Amino acid sequence: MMIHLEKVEKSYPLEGGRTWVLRNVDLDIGEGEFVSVMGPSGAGKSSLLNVLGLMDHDWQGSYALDGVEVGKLNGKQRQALQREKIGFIFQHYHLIDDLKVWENLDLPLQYRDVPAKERAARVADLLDRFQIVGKKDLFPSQLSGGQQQLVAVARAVITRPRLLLADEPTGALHSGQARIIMDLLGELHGEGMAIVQVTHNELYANEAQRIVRLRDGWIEKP
Amino acid sequence: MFDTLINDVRYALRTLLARPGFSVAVVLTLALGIGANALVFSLIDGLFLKALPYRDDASLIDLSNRYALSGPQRAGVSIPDYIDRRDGVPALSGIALYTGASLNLSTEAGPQRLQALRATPSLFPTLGVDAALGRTFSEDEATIGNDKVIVLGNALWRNGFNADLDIVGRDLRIDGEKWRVVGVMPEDFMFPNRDFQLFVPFAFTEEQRGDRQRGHEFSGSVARLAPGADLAQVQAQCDAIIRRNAERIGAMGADGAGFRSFIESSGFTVSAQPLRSILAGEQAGTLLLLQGAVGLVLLIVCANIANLLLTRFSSRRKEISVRAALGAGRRRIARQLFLETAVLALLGGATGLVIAMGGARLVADSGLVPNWVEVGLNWRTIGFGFGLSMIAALMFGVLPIFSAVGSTSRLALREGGRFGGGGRAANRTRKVLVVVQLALAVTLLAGSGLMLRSFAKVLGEAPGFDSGGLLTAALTLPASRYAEGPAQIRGFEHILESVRRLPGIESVALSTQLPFDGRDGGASYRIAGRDDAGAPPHGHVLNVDPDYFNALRIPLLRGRAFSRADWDNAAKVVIIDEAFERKQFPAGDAIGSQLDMGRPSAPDLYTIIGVVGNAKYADLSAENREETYYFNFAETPTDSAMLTLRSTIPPAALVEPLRNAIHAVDVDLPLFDVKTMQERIDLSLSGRRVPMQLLGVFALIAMVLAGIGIYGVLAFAVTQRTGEFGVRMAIGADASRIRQHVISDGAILIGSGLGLGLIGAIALGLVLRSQLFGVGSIDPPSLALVVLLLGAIAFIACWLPARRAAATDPIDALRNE
Ligand SMILES: Nc1ncnc2c1ncn2[C@@H]1O[C@H](COP(=O)(O)OP(=O)(O)OP(=O)(O)O)[C@@H](O)[C@H]1O
Ligand SMILES: [Mg+2]
Repeated sequence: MMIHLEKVEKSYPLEGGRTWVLRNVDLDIGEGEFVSVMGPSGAGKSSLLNVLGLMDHDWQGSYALDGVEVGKLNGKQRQALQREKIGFIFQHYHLIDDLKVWENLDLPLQYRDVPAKERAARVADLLDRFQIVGKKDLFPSQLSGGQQQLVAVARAVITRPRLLLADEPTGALHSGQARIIMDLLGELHGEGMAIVQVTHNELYANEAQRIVRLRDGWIEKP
Repeated sequence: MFDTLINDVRYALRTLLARPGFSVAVVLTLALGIGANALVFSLIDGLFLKALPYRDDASLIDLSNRYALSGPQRAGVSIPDYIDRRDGVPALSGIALYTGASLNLSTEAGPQRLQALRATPSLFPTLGVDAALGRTFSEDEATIGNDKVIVLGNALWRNGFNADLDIVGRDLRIDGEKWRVVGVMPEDFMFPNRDFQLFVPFAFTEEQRGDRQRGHEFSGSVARLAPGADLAQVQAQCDAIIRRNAERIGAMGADGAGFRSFIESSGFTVSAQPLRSILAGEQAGTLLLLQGAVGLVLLIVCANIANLLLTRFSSRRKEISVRAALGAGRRRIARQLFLETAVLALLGGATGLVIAMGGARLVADSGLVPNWVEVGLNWRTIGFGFGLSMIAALMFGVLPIFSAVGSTSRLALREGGRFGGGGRAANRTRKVLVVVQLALAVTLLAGSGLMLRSFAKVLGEAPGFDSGGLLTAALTLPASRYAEGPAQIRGFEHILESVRRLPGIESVALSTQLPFDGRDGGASYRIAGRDDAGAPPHGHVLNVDPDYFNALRIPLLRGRAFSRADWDNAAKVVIIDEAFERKQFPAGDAIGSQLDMGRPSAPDLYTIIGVVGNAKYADLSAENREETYYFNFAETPTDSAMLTLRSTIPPAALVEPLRNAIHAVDVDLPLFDVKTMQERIDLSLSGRRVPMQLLGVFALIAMVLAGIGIYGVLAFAVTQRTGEFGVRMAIGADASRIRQHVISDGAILIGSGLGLGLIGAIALGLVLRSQLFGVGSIDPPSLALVVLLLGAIAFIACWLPARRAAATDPIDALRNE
């Protein structure tokens, strides 16, 4: 198992008590598996992704990523693990507006201290593969939403993560653009990348191997 | 129209009140800037703009003697000079002669020493001022025997006589004689400054009117231009008199010929200048410089406020765009924002004026400007304060308002919530402003560094004597009891004896002057046996007793000092300083040579018995202008002298014992001008110290503001970029990367600011050059220190937001996007 969650609970303090976001979540995700997470707004989907992506460490229960017990890691170790294994895609792309397309792609590699030569090669590869070579010197604001999300996906996978977490990646796109992104996810999955996507779209959800449904923080038993 | 304006004002006030922190920050920052500017302006106003307490002060002039070729460019005038000009210069409608005198008033509480102005009765009509109570002097009161009359200054009348309305006609006991009060001057009257507490008539003896008195230039003269006359006419008419006199006197034997050749070779003439410029003294340049410095402070203040407003307005972009969407035109929105700005500016201006008046009073008391200068609120200072506030409002308001209004068009739609996107122009402006601020702060700090280093250098200058452990005071023997020379000598001997018995006394000395006592005395001399043609050399002169060099520890280089025997015999001996020796006796043959202080027909010889080291008497930062020579006090006794005590106990602790000792000798003998030597030196430096302190304060304000400015800009940028930092963290940036990111952004600003500032500092150094002492206008150590100091402050201002950025919680940051 790549991911093994057991009795994961997440709550926020609330006046006079706590508000529960994740309740007793048990979840296994296999190597290279493609999983969709669905559920109504506020169900805890993003929260679950934050736990999986090691962004959040304030929860109870147990989470093993590739056999490493995440709860026992300190901040540095957790960050190292995240850098090594995880990539993120967001609904609103979240590209950095002051940086050109290629610089956006280069950034995660910089953060991982990849040597400049190799960075250039990998950026060039990816621009090529995503067919955005022509856009490499544009700023994000000069791209359409679909193109921006394409760049965001490229940025997420340039570090060759084993787990790609996508929070409503098609949420802000119209269907044509969304299709391209979904095809891309399918392709990445085909290459062996594990993917967990949050989506409100049944159709796109069904493109994954499995659907996990959340409601009020609980995983619904099928 | 008016209605909407009222509405807008009301809305502006409400908006400002809703953000008290912001409003207070703007108002206080502006108050600092306006306060500093109004402070300096009020000094300039008091010195140059405010009317003097005389009728039509623009036509009043100071008339002084001038030795264009040889000597002082502004000397006093003699009594015959005055009479000549009173009677022979049609370009003047009035002229008066005055000199200082100290009088001892007997009161129930003991003797009180008063500073009087001895003036011809013409002084009051010339100035165009009448007495507030009683009258001023009549012409016949300026004759010997009728001259025991007094016009009281207002302050003395109030403080010394409880503003007694029946004072006129009363008799006072002064120096043992009866003097009658004939009048009291109005409250605002002063002449030529506020040192003089009362006025007495200047009566001339027959001897004083004679040609022999020419050259006894111990008085000042003030005159009024006749209607339509100008300074050039006065000059020409006075010069004509001087030529006639030279011819007339030149025909009278050997002495007359000597006089004539002296007049011609020294370039003797008059200096006629507006009274105002003479009263104002020499601080005009310094004040202009300070006004420049506070101008820079105001620029920094404006940059800071512009930044605050940019921040404030951009966080109100939503509100502004909603208003635009509701149909408010851009002009309407701009007007609203400008109103808010103007309200802030007015509040800042008012607060600044309050600060300025408090500060100006402090500065005026510090001796930077003459004591007659009154600083305070008047329509000019108020107009200046508010006018400058409105100009400042334009400077700091325009950019933020334009950028706020300009952004309404392409608002909301695109800028939605993207980070960095919108307001990019505003961000750039903010950065430029911070760079400018930092540069100005570097400039000011470097300037005050130069002044500080100069001051330290001046303080480090050796005065030529040992200033530590010295207490000094002035004494005047009442004429009634010590009329003649021998009586005066005996009086001083008693005093010295009594003072020597005080505890801890090492030596006590008597002299007509002391270093840094503000007095100045000089005389021309001739070296006996040399028949030099032309103007005789002029030197600084004082009379001292045998203990003087010992008490001040002025080293004796050659020969001997005055001895007890010299004192007892009133020996005609003289001691010269090194400068004198180098100038007149380079061969080293000074000792035994003689100075001739007499006339060609009646030589008056003094034998040089010693050479002492040079001592500075007036300016610690300059070599003495002239050579100095010392006469035997006992040989030409006077009624007033300076007393110097060197003691093993702290001089300040000696003041009371000294008073008691003097009192024991003579109850009617007041001691005045009591100061330690160090106090005298400090006082002599106030023209240098006060501007330095002011510049220092301004530079500190600039530094703090620049620090706040950098912090504000970076902190705002960090807030704006929280989302971006969240993303960066999600794609692998750790805290130190984020911190680096903010710091390197800040470092660019800091680097450019410091660099630009260095250029400014060098420019300011060149402007300051004339005020510097012992340091060049480019002073690498102080520049380095300034850069380090400001760099450190800027770095802290940058570190704090960087730390906050690094602490961003990516989950929060991303959710709020
Ligand atoms: N910092 C917080 N403090 C308090 N409650 C929070 C906080 N963050 C999230 N929540 C709550 O946790 C619950 C789950 O939020 P989450 O963002 O995971 O929902 P979601 O399923 O992703 O919804 P959506 O489909 O709208 O994105 C919500 O009820 C939310 O209000
Ligand atoms: Mg969500």
